[in-house]
Amino acid sequence: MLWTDYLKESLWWRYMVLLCRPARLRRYLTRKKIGRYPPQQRVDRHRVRVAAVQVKVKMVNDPLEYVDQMFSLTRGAVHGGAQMIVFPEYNFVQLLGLWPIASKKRGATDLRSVFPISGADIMLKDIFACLSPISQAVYFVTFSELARRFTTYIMAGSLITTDPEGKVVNASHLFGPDGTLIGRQVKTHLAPVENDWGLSAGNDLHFYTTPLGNLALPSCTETSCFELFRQLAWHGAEIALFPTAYHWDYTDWKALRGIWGRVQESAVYGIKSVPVGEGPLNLRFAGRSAIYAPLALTPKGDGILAQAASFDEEEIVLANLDLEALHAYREQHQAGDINRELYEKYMPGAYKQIPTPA
Amino acid sequence: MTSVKVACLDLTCETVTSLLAYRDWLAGQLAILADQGVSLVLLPAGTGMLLFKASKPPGLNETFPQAVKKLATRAGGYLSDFHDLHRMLARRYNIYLAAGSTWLEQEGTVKHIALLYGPGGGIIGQQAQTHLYKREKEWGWGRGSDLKVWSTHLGRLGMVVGSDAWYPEVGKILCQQGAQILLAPAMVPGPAKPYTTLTGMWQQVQQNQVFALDNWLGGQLVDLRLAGWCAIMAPCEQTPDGTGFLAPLVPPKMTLPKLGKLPQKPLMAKLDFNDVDGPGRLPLGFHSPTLYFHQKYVPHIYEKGV
Repeated sequence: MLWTDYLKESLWWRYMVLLCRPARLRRYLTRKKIGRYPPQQRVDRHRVRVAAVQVKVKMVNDPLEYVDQMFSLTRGAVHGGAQMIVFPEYNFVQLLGLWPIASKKRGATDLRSVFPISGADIMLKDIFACLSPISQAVYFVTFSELARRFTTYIMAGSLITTDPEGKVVNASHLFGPDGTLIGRQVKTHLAPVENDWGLSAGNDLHFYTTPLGNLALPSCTETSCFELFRQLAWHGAEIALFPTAYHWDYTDWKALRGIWGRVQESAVYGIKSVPVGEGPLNLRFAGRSAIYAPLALTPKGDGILAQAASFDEEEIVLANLDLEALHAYREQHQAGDINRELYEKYMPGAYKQIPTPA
Repeated sequence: MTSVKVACLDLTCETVTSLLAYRDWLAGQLAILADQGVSLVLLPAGTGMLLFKASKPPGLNETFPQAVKKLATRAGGYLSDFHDLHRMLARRYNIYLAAGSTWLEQEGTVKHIALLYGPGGGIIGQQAQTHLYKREKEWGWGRGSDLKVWSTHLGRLGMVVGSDAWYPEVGKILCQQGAQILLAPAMVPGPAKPYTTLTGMWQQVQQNQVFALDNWLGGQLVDLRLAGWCAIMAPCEQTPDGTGFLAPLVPPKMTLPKLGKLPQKPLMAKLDFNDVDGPGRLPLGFHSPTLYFHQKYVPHIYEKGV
């Protein structure tokens, strides 16, 4: 690398640090004059109001554009009465636009062509790791401040970041109404493309008890298998906060085989949030954010409490969850049987026969 | 076998007025299907009860659970007639015949059992329902503790009996053993709820990337009003409009055929095994190694009480 390249890179990082410094982001939000949102004194478990945000992906040139978008969506949800807001998976890709070369190569299909890095062993996870300090800083400050200023729970969507052990993971984060980070869930079932990127999977499930209910944060491909949701339900989860991203040809039928089905099997509420629009690398996102419940707890018996009207526009989906009705449903639910003899006979043995994924 | 033609036969309770009437009806249907190259046919659950009811045993106008108990305790004679009839027809038309289900007393409890007959006229196997709905527990039914997969020249077959359609553990265990086609005879209380079908076998098909035949008995059985329904399903990617239904053909818009209105003709479809690696399919072994291989959670959750 030439000394001029080193100089450019060093100056660029310093510029990024200045651009993305927390004080700048906080000052921007202060100028929004958000006002006072006092904390809820008493939560009505018959009426927990939640929002699923459908985010239109817009690559940004300045982190304040990202802050502004998240602020608008949060404000819209809070003004709709939401006490808890769910954002989608990869709710940081907009920040990839901060890299000057990225804005010049908006139509690129290969991240390496956007961020040329020499070295045969470099994987995309290494690029994400390199970008992580910036995206992480903006993401955490933005959502911590929004949660605190609007006095609301925010599941900020997922972020590809580096964990303390140096692994690159896809993790969702839950912020409390005082702005503190109260929950984090690393994705345990990676999508095939994420395996190709070199991401590492999580190996634990976390559950969070809040006044708004017992929460879990599964994401995306984790709804492909019922077992994980069984675990969530058995550990007492009432609401699954579900960030996902559909970057295939979206249809309502294919979407039914995800969290909608898991909600029916395991009798939990599910709040699904998706990104829409065109992201980097020609990734096109489409889908319908929605809030799901067991069939019997929905007005039309279709398992849907609320759903986005479009699959390609920014929207805020709102619904009320009745946690007491959920528990009553579980008591009376016709399903919910356990056959221990069967599981002891087949489950551990059957899983041992599966070859280890490459 | 690269592809196989399969069918679900509609059956309402009112069709079966006697053993002979049932035999003639079934023979006529199987003749038509065999002419069209069908190799595997599924009847709905409850065929044993229909035949028992048609024999007009005394005191059968009580309740359904009482009728089941009566049938299970007198199964001997009825069961041999049931076997003989279906074995004969399977052999005559050279068809694999999943002949619905009956109730038998096993290990001191009444169990809901589905039966599969082969084209040679033999009984390939029987499968007991392994999970019970609340009402079925109250009726005193017992659970099966095995899930079998049978190797046939059509492929590997498994049966998902009755309420098991709403327990994804069942489909997963069968598919981990290599099942390629799941046969699901059931009886579902009415009134018909369209989305109920999407919460049962349709989900199991999508999760396990397998084919399934789903057949619910319709009509009035003793004091039960049943919602009839048939479907042949495949992963979304292998169906014409990505709906997950090979038959009946469902429009891509989010609507379902009205339950309770049975098709005029048997439901037929061709299962194509060549497309097993179609686009967008997730591998069956799509699991988190640490969570499952190290059994961190799986045995634990199933040990925990309700």
